[in-house]
Amino acid sequence: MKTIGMISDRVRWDEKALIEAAKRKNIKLVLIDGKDIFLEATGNFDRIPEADIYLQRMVSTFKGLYITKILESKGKPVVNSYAVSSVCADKLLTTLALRKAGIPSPRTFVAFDVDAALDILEELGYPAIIKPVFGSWGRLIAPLKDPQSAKAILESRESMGALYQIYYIQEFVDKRNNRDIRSFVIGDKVVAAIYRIAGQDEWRTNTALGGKAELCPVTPEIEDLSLKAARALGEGVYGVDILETSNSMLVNEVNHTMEYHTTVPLTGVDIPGMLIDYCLEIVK
Amino acid sequence: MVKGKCPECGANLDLEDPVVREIVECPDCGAELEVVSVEKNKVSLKAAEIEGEDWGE
Repeated sequence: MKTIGMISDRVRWDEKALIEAAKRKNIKLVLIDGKDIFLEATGNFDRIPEADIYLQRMVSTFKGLYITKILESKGKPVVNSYAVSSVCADKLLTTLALRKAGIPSPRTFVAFDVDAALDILEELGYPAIIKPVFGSWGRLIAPLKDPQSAKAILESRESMGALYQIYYIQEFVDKRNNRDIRSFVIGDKVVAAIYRIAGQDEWRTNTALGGKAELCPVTPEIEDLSLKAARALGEGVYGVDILETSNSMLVNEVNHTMEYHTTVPLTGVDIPGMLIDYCLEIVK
Repeated sequence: MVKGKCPECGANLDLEDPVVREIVECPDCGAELEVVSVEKNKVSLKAAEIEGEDWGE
């Protein structure tokens, strides 16, 4: 019987659901605490439980990426792979991968200096959005409404870490009904989708920020766009964020450590069970 | 059900099949708690670590 090693730093609803899904399916899933392990980069003196395949569920992006990279260098398969995760983790690399594949996404610029960032806004117009290239749950994503507030927000980023001075600036997309779509791709299938509706006094739709979720049918258009986005990044499991405008759909972000604690109860789709099956399929 | 006590407000918690490192919310004070250890009928809990700079994706 094949063993799945689930590497995590926290056991949230999402990870607990994976444990339960494995139990239900009679699959051996080993819980691995990312804080307990060490890995030898130059050899094989590692302290990590053996498994046939590892499922990467670290909340810490960089720790997760390095663990994945080292395990792969030792010939172990990891879901998601480093190739996929390292692109998804970085919003700019994701944008470039989408562009290369011809997938529509919001118009995006990058600058490395406050003045140059302000020049972008002359071209893009106000309002626009600034996002950290790394980050999640809508944190530190800010609307740039006019030159004064843009300057203040950009300058505030100067006192933060180096990565916050990569000014990733995007057009503001007027979302239909103040909502966006999150679709779930496992391998070559779109297994579920939800609408995320922004909470009161909030334009960001993240459920972590009080956004509400509603059922979203997987239409042929959503399916096609989600699979194209997934193919642009490579074989893996993804949460795809799609923005609907009045006349088109744009892929906004692609997430590589998807959370589904809102989606599973709402849709009844067994995403954790499907993730377990997906891992087993790879090492069959 | 396994019993635990919230280290923040002292409320009694009943947890189903708790797992070490599991994140649970105290139903009384809303604190985010982490399961530190699980014994037969008792779990010990601590306040969960606050969000790290690179958490998420």
